[in-house]
Amino acid sequence: MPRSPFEIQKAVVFALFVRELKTRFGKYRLGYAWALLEPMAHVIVLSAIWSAMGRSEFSGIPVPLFLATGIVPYLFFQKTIAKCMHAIESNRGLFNYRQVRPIDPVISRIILESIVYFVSYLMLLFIAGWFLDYEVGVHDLLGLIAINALLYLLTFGVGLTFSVYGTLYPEMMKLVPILIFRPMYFMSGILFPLFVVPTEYHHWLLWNPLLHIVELNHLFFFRGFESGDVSLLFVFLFALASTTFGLLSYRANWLKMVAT
Amino acid sequence: MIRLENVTKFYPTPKGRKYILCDVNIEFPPKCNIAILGRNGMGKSTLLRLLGGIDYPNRGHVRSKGRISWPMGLSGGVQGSMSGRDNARFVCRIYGDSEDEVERKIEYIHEFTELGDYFDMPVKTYSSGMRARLSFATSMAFDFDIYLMDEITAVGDQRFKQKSRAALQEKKDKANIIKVSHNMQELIRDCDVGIYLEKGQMHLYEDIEEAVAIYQREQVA
Repeated sequence: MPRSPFEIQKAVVFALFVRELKTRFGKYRLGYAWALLEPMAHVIVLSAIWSAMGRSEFSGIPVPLFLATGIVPYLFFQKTIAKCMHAIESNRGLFNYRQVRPIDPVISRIILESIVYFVSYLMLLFIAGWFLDYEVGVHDLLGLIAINALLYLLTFGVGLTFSVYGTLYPEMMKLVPILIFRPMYFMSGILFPLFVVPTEYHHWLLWNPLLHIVELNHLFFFRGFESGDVSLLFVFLFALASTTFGLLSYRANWLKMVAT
Repeated sequence: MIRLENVTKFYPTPKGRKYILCDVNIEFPPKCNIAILGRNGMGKSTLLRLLGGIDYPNRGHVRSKGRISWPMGLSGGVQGSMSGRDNARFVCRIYGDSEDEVERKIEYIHEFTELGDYFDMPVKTYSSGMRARLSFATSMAFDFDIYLMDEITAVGDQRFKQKSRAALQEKKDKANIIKVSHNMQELIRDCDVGIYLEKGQMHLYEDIEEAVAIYQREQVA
């Protein structure tokens, strides 16, 4: 009985997923704890800077909580894109099996990162609420779920696009972290909320979908959070467009990535 | 059944295209073991990759029916940082085996390879002979109609060679092999027909001895 293409792909993605589980943090002794320690390190350092400058809250939201709810989605996006860019090259040996196609390691990495992100988000909030006595209550849970679903979609689209072009043009792997991730860290509403930026600059910053995502995360999380002209629709359209572009790029180039 | 239809394959190099196959039309004779002969760089391994469905011609089509193994060679197909066991597990999983089935096959592969404790060590610590054993044993756990073998029998000790021949013999009434090797005695013993690869063309010889004779004459000339 021949299997359907979907069954084959499911089996391959699962097999790759199990491998990734074992090797994801292979180099680091701390293993999966790193998924929690890394955002915590960002939060601790940045809170220290803010408190040195005399800031303890943004419109009533304690700075550490504000930072955590922005850093975690941002790090998920950035890490997953970086992992996607290397997914195809580092699994090249496995294309020796005809069932394995270049998109499969990309998909399995995104699934694994999504799970790690979800768990570390929950655990960080738990730590903040249980041990640090912050008031962690979600203001709009449905909105929070929606925006994070869109974040997954956006990550898939951008990740697939970058995995295709990063494999075809390896220079990109060096340039993307410097040209995209570095500036985005400062301009995605993680370090400071949009409302502290003068309004005349908003229309420039608001082209960045990640700024929308981080701001909307804050909006759905905290009652009374002020923001600018952010829109769920913009994120949705951007995510849809990038997924379409990613799939098209893959479709047009996959043979080049397999054939020698 | 394997058929090549107008297949052209080339590699782009700085000095222009290097043609491996030029507009080749050929149907592989069914139910026989096929040897592929040719000098180095004539594209024997590339041909196996095309047959195995992991590389694609620049023009034309490779049509095939039946279960064809991956090209068993000395490189590719394993991830060095993972153990032999995990690599074998991966292969079983992508072929859609249930987890029980996977464990059953792993038992078989472990025993067949005779790797012992090495089976749980990273593949990058293996010698080339051990790698070949792992690759061969893994493919023997499956029932393919055609096994593609790329110089894999060149390594491995005498004992393992005999063992693998016996395993293949057992599958012989159901399965066939397509083999690349530079060992002529071995090809004459294991194969029925020969395909001689030269300057982008494939010549089929119904008698393996004839193919070997022609190949050897070309070698001297």
